[in-house]
Amino acid sequence: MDKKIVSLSLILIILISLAAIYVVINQPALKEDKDDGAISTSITDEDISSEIDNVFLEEDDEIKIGEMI
Amino acid sequence: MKKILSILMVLVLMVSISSLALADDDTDDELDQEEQDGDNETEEPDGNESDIDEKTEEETEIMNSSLGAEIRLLQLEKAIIKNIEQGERAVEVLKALNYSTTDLEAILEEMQLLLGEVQAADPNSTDSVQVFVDLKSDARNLTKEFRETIKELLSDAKYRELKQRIQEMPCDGVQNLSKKIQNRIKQFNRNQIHRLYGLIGETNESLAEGYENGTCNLSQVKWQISKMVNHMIKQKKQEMFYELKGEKIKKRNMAEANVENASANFTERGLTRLNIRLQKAEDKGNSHLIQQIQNKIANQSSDDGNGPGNNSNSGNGKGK
Repeated sequence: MDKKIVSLSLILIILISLAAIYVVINQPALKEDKDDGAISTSITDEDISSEIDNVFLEEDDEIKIGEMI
Repeated sequence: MKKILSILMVLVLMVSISSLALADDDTDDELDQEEQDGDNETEEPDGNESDIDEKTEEETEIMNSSLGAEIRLLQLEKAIIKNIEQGERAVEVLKALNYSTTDLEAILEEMQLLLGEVQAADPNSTDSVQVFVDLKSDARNLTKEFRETIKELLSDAKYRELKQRIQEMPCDGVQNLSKKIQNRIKQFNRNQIHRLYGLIGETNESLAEGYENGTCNLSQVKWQISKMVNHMIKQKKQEMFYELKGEKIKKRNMAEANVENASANFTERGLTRLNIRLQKAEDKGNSHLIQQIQNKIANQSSDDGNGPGNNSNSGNGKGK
């Protein structure tokens, strides 16, 4: 009976440790997803197209200083 | 045996507590970050240390190259010329209606001096961002000053009528400048095509040439490049994405640092520019402009004496 409890407890320790390791390992990736300026881990074709768009300047781009009237 | 059991229980507790602590750390970090973001959003400009907005900061992102700086200075020049043209038309209309336009004309005279400063600005200079930020701020302030002076002269109905009349008139004084800007932007975009080709590992010149000679437009260029990238293998695509994203962040950080530098001594530089303009007004013998600039200098100097937080931005004082 005692042996059973010991082995169950050991399994529990191993499981909790594994869960903790998983959280620590995945922590940076989750953070990257949240940060607006940082790198996203799931990159889609739309993300790349959007980055390509940002590289260029629109030909009708203007500076706004307000209207005189 | 009981001892072993209690040791095991302690171990279980310790591991559980450490996992909880880790999770709590994450939450704390997130909260800290959120608080920091919130602070940044609500942070007011420090007294009179410029009204450099996010848009201006974004505009300076391309100014790390002389071509980018030239584009921004030309665009500012165009915006000022357009406003001077509109202002002159408004003055003409108001003169015909027997309104006193001396204050408005003085503002236009100062805008002409400002235009000269923008045209003389060197895009290759290391302080081109600071010059751009300063002159754009002056342009905005003078435009606002002109608009408010007209509003004081006219009733709401007459103001709306004049606004409609002025806006219906075509603005043809900037056509050549618009073409020049468009050419520079094309040159800028062509450089970007080459840069992207470098990242893709392509040497085909036809797209850049097609864009330059007008056989394909910017939307087609973007579409072609996106298509090329989407056909790349996943790893290469990711590499390219990281490269582009990294560069964007680098540019944004640089713009932020440049704008922060431009914020320092913003009012002092504004006063220096006003003194230079005063000298030019005196050379021209334009008494009303002299009076207007002197009033602004006096206002700014008294604002400085009041301590930080009570100041207005440079060029906001109204010469009456």
